[in-house]
Amino acid sequence: MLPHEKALVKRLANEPFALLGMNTDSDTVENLRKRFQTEGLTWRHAMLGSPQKAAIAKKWNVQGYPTMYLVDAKGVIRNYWLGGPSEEELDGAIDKLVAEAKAK
Amino acid sequence: MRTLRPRGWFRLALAGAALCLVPLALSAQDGKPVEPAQKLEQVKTSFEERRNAIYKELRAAETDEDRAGLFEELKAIQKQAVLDMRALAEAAAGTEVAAEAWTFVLGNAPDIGNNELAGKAFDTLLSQHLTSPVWQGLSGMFAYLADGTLSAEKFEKGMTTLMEKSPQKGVQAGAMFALGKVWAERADLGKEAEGKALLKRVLKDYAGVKEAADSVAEAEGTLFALENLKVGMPCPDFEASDENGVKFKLSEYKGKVVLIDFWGFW
Repeated sequence: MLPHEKALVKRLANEPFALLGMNTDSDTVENLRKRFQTEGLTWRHAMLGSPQKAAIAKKWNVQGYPTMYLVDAKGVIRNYWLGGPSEEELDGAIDKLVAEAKAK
Repeated sequence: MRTLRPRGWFRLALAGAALCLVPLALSAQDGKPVEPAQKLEQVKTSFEERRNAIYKELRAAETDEDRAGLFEELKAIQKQAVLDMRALAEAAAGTEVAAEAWTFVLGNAPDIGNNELAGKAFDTLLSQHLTSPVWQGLSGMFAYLADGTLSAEKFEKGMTTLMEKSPQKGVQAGAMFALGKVWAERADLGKEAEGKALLKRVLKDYAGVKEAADSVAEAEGTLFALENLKVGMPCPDFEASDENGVKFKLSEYKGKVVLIDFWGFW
């Protein structure tokens, strides 16, 4: 997934789109920040702490990883995936909503 | 690099961990552990070792093809272990070793597509081992039994029996949560209102009960997701701190399409 997400962020850099990582690693934020840099994960990450601690993941009842929500430009949930969609499905869903956002 | 974790794995790991907590030493003649207990331990340990090795490879796997191959391998060792455990359970029928062996079968048979055998394990555990401590370890996975493993009718009957007759509060709460979740989430069963009511009852009846803490937390999360996180609902706002220590809110992204991705390197 990460290589595809990198490609996605690059491809949509000038579009009304943002990838928000909800990171659930237990390592320190500083170490993780460095690791994101090394691995070229340029998008923003909410640092939640390990799955056992991650308050938002608990509140949102995250059942497994990855879990993804796709939200449109108006803030409405349009897709939900547990376990992650295929690259084609993900691209298709995002492109559709980006086109919608730009049509406004 | 990235772990794909179907939710069943969590449950397997949980059931596995709980299984380890149950003392294996059974009272036997001469004070020696009986043979089936050792066999059980052997099958379990060897399966877990091989499975963990495959998990490790899965994490490192680069292509879908590699992953598919590893899943096949996992299935093969799982299948063998399930068959071994079944034989063991039948040979030691009625004992705590049998309860543990059936527990293993119940947790693993669905992954290899043998729902019939999982159903048999469930029935046997209910009819012969209702008071066994193994149920506590299983209680976290009850809801998954409704994903095709058990028929809706059998699932409902089983959960009701556990809610009403299990001597363990954690098991009662787990069964109530599972039945509530399945009813509330599956529109085709036509019991959404009853499901939500059961979830709320978990919160009320088991608040502060230590053994039921997981079920209470899950009931809370399930209710929140049902009422706030369905497709078509406005996404609930949240505040978080990013990798640079900067606080932000989801609502700052209005006007943009946002992909919210819960993940971890682990």
